[in-house]
Amino acid sequence: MNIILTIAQGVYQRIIKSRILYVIVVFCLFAIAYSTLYSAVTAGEETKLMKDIGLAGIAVAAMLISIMVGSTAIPAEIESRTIQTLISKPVKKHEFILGQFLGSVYVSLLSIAIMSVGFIIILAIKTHALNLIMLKPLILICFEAIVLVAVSVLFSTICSSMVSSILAIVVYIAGHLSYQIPFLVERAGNVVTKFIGLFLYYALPNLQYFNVKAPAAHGICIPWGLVFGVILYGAIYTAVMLLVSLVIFKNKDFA
Amino acid sequence: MKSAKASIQIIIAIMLLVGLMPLGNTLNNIKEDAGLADRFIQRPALGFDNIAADILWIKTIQYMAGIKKADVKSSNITYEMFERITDLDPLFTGAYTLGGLAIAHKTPAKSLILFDKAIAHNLNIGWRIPMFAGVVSMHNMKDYDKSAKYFALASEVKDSPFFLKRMQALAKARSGDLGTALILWERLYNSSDSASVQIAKRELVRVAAEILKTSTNNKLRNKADRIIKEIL
Repeated sequence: MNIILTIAQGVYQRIIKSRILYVIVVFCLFAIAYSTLYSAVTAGEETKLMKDIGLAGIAVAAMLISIMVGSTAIPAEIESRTIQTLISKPVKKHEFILGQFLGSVYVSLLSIAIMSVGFIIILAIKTHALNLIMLKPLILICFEAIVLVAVSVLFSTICSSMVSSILAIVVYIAGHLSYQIPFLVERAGNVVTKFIGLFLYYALPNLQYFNVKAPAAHGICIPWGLVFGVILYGAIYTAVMLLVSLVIFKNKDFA
Repeated sequence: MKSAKASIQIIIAIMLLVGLMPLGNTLNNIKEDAGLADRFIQRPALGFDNIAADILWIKTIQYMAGIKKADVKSSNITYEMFERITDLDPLFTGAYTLGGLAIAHKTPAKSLILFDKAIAHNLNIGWRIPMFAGVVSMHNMKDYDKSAKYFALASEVKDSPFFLKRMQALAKARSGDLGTALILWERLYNSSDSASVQIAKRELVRVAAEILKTSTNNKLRNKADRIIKEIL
């Protein structure tokens, strides 16, 4: 466990130096703060607009950061050849993968936490109330980020950081559209198309589960059962991605 | 040994993935029950549907502000814009309200489509939108039966104002269903709402007199006669 945490710490120290991370976080906070100025053109819906912009901004930033840190973690170690030093030491490959994953997750969650606190404070100043209903969508954004980190880590065990970033973005897009597959499968006449459709539906992460931004912005209570169910879904999907990453990584030769 | 371990890991991964199937179905059911189910829409916005709706909302406000003289054409365009906004964000009550009321004068049928959509998509719609639908049906469409249904729907909402029941009775009377109107006004007359009692008294007399003048139904005539005697 100590080795995993040491590797995670190393990943954190490397990524935290990246300027792009700060740019994303500051830009997101700026966008949220700027949304308070829209009141003149929103016809009484400025609070809703602010909540929408805040949650969407954090979700986009979380996606970018997760994919960025997840995709670069392993390729960066390979390019800098530190992986050979690490692997030659008594560091097992699963410890290495878990360390990279945890370090990346830590950076992602830290960024989301900073943006979320900023968002809640700005919203509280605007509405004179502590909008704790926003916590549930923010929690689910965190878990979506964890799934994306796991997906990015999986791709980064196979390809370069650039390619794995692109693939992870494709999974993000497909994951948000996958809920439509059953509707299309119903209409497909071909058995092969139906099979492929269903395979994709279950193999891709259904990221729409993590999306409760709209009801939260409208003040609708999201059941805790749904939140815990989605967290469980995210945890299982992350475990699957890490297991597959491990299998691929174990068969890699770094000599 | 190495490949056996890898195979076991792959099998575990597949089993976990299979385990996600029932969990996914459960999550879909929870979302459905909470009224948060994902819809098959034509413009999927990757989970940012509400932001797209907000942008369209701002554009629609700008468009409406630029209308110099409202006509059917501008009303139709406004309807299409609100239709798209509410497709993207079906919980956007403000869009249904503003859209429905803005086009009620020129295109009342489309206004009702928007209000019906609001009622269909929102579990906790409140009483205002059914009331607006009732008013549009009554004043712009002259469809009093439909209007009475909307007012009935609005009056069933918890904490809705008492005048909605009066509106329902009024719409029923105007639709020609004097029997139901009589029952509704009688109920209001016997209610604890002092404002309604006074109005109900006046309306009961008016409806009962109308029944005595026009109705051939003896049972209804007797009831109207009894009510008039009781009140006066």
